[in-house]
Amino acid sequence: MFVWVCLVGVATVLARRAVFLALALLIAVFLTGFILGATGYIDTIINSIINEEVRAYRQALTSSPQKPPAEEIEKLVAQRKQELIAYWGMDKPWQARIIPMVINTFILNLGRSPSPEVTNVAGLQPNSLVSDVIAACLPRTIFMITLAEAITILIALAVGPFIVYRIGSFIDRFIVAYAALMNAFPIWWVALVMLLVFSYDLGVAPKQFRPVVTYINALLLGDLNALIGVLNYVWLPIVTIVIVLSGPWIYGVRAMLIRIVKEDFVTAAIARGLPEKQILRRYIIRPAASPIVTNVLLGLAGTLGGYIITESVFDWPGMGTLYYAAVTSGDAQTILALTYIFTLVYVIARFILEVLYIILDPRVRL
Amino acid sequence: MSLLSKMYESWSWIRKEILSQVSGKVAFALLIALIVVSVYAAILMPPDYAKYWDVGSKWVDNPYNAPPEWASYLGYVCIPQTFYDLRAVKPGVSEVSGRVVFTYNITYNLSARDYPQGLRIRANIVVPQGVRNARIRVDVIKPDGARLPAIIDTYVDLTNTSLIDLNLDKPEGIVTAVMSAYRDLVKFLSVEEISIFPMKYIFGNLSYSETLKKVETTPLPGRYMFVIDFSFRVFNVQSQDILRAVEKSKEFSLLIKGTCYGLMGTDYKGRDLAEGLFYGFPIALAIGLLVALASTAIGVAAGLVSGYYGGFIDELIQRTVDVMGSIPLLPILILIAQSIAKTYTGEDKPIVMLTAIFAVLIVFSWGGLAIIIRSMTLSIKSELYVEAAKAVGASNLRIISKHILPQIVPYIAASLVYSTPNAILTEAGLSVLGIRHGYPTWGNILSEARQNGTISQWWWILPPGFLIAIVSLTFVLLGLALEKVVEPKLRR
Repeated sequence: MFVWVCLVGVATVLARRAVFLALALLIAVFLTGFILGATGYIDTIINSIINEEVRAYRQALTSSPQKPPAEEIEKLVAQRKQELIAYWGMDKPWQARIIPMVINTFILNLGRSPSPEVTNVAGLQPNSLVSDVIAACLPRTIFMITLAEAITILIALAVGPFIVYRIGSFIDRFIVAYAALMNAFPIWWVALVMLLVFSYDLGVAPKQFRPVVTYINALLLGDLNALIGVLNYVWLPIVTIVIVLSGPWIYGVRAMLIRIVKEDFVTAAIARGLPEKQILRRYIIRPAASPIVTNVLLGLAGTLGGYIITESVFDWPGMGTLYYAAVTSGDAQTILALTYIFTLVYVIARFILEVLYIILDPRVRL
Repeated sequence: MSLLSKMYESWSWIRKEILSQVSGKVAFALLIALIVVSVYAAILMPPDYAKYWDVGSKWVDNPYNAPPEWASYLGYVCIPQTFYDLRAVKPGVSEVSGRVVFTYNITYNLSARDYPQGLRIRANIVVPQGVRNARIRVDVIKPDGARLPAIIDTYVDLTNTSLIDLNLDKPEGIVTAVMSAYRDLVKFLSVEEISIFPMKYIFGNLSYSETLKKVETTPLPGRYMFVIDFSFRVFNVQSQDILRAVEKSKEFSLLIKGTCYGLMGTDYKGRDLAEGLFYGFPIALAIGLLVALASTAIGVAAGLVSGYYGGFIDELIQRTVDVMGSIPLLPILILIAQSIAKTYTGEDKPIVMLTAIFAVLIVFSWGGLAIIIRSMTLSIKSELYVEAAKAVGASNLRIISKHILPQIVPYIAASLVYSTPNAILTEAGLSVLGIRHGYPTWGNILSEARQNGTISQWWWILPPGFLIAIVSLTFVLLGLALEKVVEPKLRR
């Protein structure tokens, strides 16, 4: 009976969380649609597309060998313009165009990308499916950003427990200072410096990173020889990210561990003369698990959206560059799809955490 | 004790705690330096600074894309700016058929193996009545003995204006001058080359290359002589009177543009980067503090209300924070900034864009603090002395201001400190991405470097980022020191 009450309690807690996370997802995508529509950005973009097509049509008419009379041209052009306006839905208010688009995004009917800039980032033909575009860019972000974050996390998890017994030592002070310094330097600026030094001054790293696409595609098809090609491109961005992020990560892990080391039960364990390794494993890592897992999972989930600014500095054709290309070219379809996916990944990670808390922390379980 | 004096007490305690740590001391020193520089820059800042930076008339005299002068120690070939005040030079005076001619012989020593970027003659002379027009003709005698006749020869009508401004980066007469000076090379000279790179032909050694089948130029160091004939068509005017007018003029000068400039170099428009970076201090600090103050104020208010009153409003605030925390901030921010950049056309676009960026930042960044303040408020609210105060009939406002606020001051301070660099970094990040508001911030300088420069122009790319990092480091260190105040467990 008691078990049942507990389970129902856990289920309602999780259900409540799920509802609010879903609400966040809903709001994020609708907000995006609202910004696109209400600022008039979409209309500006579509109007310029229509004007360009009308201009091209008029050009074609006037330069054709059997040139129709002037009035005829005007009539044809006006007619063409009406057609285009109807095709793009510009005869309706923006709500009527954006809301169906948002709803389609939710049911993963992502449509096609009208923007050549966006499909160019993916390396696909113009007017490709948005889902194909995203599928092409996601592995590139995983190979760079997610990999770099994973390496950083591993370093932090290795170094954190090592320094937690040496608080105040030289190495500890050094790491705190390093963390403070790296907290202050934005990744994109360090990326610029690294490009300047390694690509332009020393010439040991590539200057253009777009060609990595060929190697990643080959690697995805199972050609392991392409790995060297990928590494040739990916090492500089990864080193950059690891250098910058390892500071705050190590500091964060250190802070979480210190809080626990100061607890009475750890002092008691030390007083009992237990070996360092055992104290670490049994009395420190276990209670620190849930905040660390939180950070790891949210950190990794966050990388899937790409680091927009850093990717842009390296001109790395991943999710971040894709999003920026979609925003600058006003490709509503892709913007909505990417916002949806960014938020969805984050929300799912949060939900997984809720479940993990219950598993990891016995106090939450009851 | 009043709220203020309690706050002050709390503040002096925090200050003492911060100053007892190394990071705190460094942060304090940096902060004071920052504030001093910012105040100084804010006082000196020209009115309408954005416009001044964008279209300042003084930039035309500077070399563009020029590294700083100290770059010569890094192996850069550096030609300094050379300025001649011709008012102080005694000209040779002669009179030829109704014209008074002043001849200025200026020697210029080119020591580096490079070409100066341009020439400029400028005059602002109020001439006596009866002077109809002025004529300026410049000859150049090169170290190899060649004389380039009349690289410029132009008339200026002085009846309506006193200003003469000759931009000689591309002098009109250069092609004929070079052709007549190097008769033996005429067949191989390219008119196009000369008119595109005139400085190479003025300050270069010309030689025919058999392999390339054309004339090549190499920098020619040595003594150059600029012969400037400044003549006036006069009607009943003594030459002494004109000479006096020239000597008393506001300006009469020859400028030979170098290839290096100042302390921090210049950008593609010749703007002095040292100036832009200097005036960037108060702007950066204002941006950071504004956003930090606003988001902290909202966070504190929301946290207090949520924790103290509880119930429906608590639930609402908590869920709002929850939902906002799951919405990806940067993509939304980029989208809003870009939408406004593309659709807003008003004069005040930079300010509108910045305001929108900051509004979004503020709206999205109060949540974390609200949760901390709420839990603090909850625990203080259940203390006995609060109960006692309530029993005596103290109002809610009194309890909040007397018992709760003073205790959360360290958290407020920490939040202020943590969120100050946030806005500066975000604004710079957006600028680097290419979303340009146009207001001359450090981020804007960086963004122009990315847009109009090459990455090898380190003097343009590195300093703005470095300053951003220094400001942010100041606050990070301050935060590090405060962290031990806020969380005593972190102490050794």
